[in-house]
Amino acid sequence: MIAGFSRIEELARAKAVDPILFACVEPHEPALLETLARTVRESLVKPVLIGDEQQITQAADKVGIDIKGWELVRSAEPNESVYTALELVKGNKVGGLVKGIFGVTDFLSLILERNQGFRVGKNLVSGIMACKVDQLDRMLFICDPVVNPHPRMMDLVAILNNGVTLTHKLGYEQPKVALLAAVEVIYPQMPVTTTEAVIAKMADKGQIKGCLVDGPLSMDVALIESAAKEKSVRGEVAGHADILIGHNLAVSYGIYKAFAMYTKSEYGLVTLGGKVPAVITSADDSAQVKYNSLLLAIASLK
Amino acid sequence: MSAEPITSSDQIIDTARALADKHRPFRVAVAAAEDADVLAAAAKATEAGIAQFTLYGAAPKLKEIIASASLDLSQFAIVDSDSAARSAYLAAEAADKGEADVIMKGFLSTSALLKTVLSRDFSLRGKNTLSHVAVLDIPGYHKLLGITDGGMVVKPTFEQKVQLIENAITLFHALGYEKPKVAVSAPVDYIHHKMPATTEAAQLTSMAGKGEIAACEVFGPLTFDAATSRDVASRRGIDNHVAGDADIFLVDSIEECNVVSKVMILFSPATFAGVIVGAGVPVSLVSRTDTARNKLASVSIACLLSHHLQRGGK
Repeated sequence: MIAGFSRIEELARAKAVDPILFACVEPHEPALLETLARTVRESLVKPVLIGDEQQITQAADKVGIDIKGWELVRSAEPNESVYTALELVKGNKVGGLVKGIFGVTDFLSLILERNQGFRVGKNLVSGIMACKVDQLDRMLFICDPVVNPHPRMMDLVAILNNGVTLTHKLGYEQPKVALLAAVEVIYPQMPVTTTEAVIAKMADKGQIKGCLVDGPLSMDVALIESAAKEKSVRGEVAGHADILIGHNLAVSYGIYKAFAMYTKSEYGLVTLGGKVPAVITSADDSAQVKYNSLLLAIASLK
Repeated sequence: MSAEPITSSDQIIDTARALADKHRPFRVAVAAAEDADVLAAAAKATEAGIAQFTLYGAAPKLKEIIASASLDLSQFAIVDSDSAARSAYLAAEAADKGEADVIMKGFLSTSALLKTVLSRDFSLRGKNTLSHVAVLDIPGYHKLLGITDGGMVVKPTFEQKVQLIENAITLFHALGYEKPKVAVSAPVDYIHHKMPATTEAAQLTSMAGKGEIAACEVFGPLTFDAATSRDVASRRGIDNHVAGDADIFLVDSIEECNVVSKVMILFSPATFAGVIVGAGVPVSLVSRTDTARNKLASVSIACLLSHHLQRGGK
């Protein structure tokens, strides 16, 4: 269990003995350039900017950042920028990928094409929000608020495994995984609860390793010990979950935005399962969030 | 009813109290009242001058719980009944005869209670399916947000989504909103043929635009952030005045509604008032893990809805 982003920062610094190369697609976004400048100063990241030189320079000027000395690959149009970045990934030239100003859905559909360098076989790619909310003394990892709209059961298992992989890299031995639903019991008329019960049973039988899994669990029972007690839900996960799995994108994206907008939380987002970690944030995420996201991406490296 | 719409959970409680002062305390029938948490909530609402409670249940057991919780027995009317099913029947009958304004769930399952309420013995059935609406007072959001359905309808069909909207706007009319703004949730803010939530949201928007869903404005698909933040909506080029200013957020599944609202209830923290809408009488249910404040707000909003329905409100 880790208490916050300061620990993730330590782990990232230990990984970045030499600054990590990140291919940054269409990075003419001021908050992103500020973040990259900070990571350059801190010798964590060596950005490879890919896009229109004039746009990038203008955005950098706006926030007073000098990008002389940063590598820049000129590209005539946005899709070409993505393909250039994918070539770098394919050729093992970069350790990570960063999305700048580019629609999330379009970006994902380009990088998820088979044999373009990012996908590894049939491995599922999914996003993870790492979140430190004021009222809890531990971090939460919410999966998947980024990539998969309607995951099937084995997709959920892969989403879970990506979350577990990240927490292992952060030093967790047996993270506690809650499969979220509206209730804590299994009702045939709520198919989400039966799917989740099967996944929990798979973990009991050792088919999912390196973690403890329970579900279905409601949000309060997953997170709050007293709620688990009041509702008589036993087990090691209830009241102590580290990883929260939403059964579809609407659920996980809703959790992400509810934490981001209406609670005091520090957070970052990273997308795993590809050849390299990808930082896919939105224009609404602050420079600090993008920084936290880069830390997560670096900490997730081998 | 106040001319101005109600915009906070405090106002939900205060308005219910003011109406009780002006007319008489609301009459709440508690079905299978043998539940310490429900009785504590009832005592609070009585003390607040909002409602008077008739408890349907086994009298000896009720007296025992009331005594061990150190509550005042004299504030309650007790109707002795030998089973939960009988208690539910008697509570529904009281509502049907106009002797109770609100039915409150005690120690029995929601489905057993609602089955009784909707039985053909009474005329409490409405044309719509029943649905649960939670009205959240979220620090950081500039108005109340109704979110539905996190408690009843598991995965609403298109038809049910229309009814969920109608039920939620009935509740918001009771809170004094003339044309509540309804945002319809989807995983993305644009129409994508492989995501049914987005196409259904577009259809609902179009129906409301043609007046087929009346007395509200509907717009979707909208993600939660675009529904509740003008900045996000305008940055994404969504030019509609529901976006970023939603009164009601209609979601695509019970899980999404329940999980997302709990983030805000636990960690904002938001106050919430929840009620089941769609029957001839509001059905109030409180959960053991609700705070005392949320329980009081839930009883209060059920009272406001009953006031509205009794005046022919839709």
